Amino acid sequence: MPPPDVFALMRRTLDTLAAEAPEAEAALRIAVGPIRTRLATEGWAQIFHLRPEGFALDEAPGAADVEIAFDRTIVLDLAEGRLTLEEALLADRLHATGTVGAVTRLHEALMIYLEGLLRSPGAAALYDEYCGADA
Amino acid sequence: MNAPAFASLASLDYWRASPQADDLALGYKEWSHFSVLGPDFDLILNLSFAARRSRKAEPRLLILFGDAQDRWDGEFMDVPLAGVEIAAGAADAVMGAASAKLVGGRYRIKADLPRRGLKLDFELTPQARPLFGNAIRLSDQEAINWVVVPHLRATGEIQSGGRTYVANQAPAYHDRNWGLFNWGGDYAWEWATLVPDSADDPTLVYSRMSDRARGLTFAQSLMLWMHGQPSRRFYGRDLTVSQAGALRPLRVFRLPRFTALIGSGRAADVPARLHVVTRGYGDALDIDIDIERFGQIVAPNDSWPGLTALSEAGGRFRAQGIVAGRRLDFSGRVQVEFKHAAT
Repeated sequence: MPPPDVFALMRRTLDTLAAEAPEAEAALRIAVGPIRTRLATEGWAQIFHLRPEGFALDEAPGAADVEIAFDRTIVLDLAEGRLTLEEALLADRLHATGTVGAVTRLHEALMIYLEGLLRSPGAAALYDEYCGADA
Repeated sequence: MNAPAFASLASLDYWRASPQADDLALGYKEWSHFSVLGPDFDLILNLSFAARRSRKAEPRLLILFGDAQDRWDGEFMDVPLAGVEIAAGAADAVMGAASAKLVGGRYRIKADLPRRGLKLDFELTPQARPLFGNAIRLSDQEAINWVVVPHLRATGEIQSGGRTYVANQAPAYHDRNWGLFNWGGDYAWEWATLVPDSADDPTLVYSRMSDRARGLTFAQSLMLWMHGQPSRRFYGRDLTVSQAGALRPLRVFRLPRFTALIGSGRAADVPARLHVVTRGYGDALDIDIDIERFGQIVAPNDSWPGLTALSEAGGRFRAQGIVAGRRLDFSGRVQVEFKHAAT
């Protein structure tokens, strides 16, 4: 696992979303649907996908519809509002590869995820913990 | 500066409910809001709670800071109930790292967020008599109550980004709102506090309530305090309001910060200028408001999905005219809030 564990942050916030903002989690399930996304950062990679029992982020075998590659520091820069997605793409700090349809769908899912985080009081504490680990 | 005695302050400005109560009406919201319009900065401190999803309160602390160089800082955070001390009927509040207390007719506001390097401590002395607005209509089903202390003078300092900003008798504003309403309801508002550079000049508060689409104005008013006393109120057709231009900063500072990713871009629907013209019963006042900068607060609507954006803008104004036979021409600092739907 890359330290600090951005994948663990994502897993834990998804769990918090399910518990504290179930409407957002349900909408996220619909948005993600069958799309499989490979998230790769600094030599580590996981597949983000939806299983019947919920979201999974693991080393599931098989191809991905979208590949997102990023440097680890981008997580804090994005979360702190220091960088927009457009700037990250233009600066080559974030790469999104896939069909237009799949990438667009993933972007819609990201917007739902972010709105869900706003509705989930527990998410802020997880983020603070992540920031502390990154300090 | 001596504090004028406003005996009504403590009897008007108190928490109507406690966030510790577990039987709040669904949709109940209450907040205590302070603005300091410093010589080279604007500051908002807002302590709030809402029964958004259940009858239990969700307390939130907002600190929004912007300086004359368009450098922004702040936090909009949930605060655990265990860290909140608010009693119904009392004026004081402690909310996590922040507090606002009424002591001896003056307010003391403090906050300390070490992770952000953000620390503030101000004493605010009221200069004008408070007013109470009861059941102000927001929509067919929703109303808000309001106590306003329109003019205070603030002395203190704020540390942000390694710098210290000082205010010495700077203009300031305070209000309290409470009621049963939903973020995302069929309403929008514009609200502005216009605090004069000279404490001897009038203080103005402008507000306009409309439907969510802003096609229908329900109510608009301009209130004027002279020598600390409520002196004149213009209503409805007394007022004509127009907007011009649009502020388009390279980047809009949003809180919580990650909401910059939601609808990132420069579009924010904040005008560069507001012109308010009032006429009535021989009185006339023309107000030009120049908006210089703004930050945004993004909050989820009470029901899924949807977001509400509060654009907090700072700038300057000039007011000219005649009220009660007195010729007026004065300037000052203005803070404008635009409450619009974000999505």
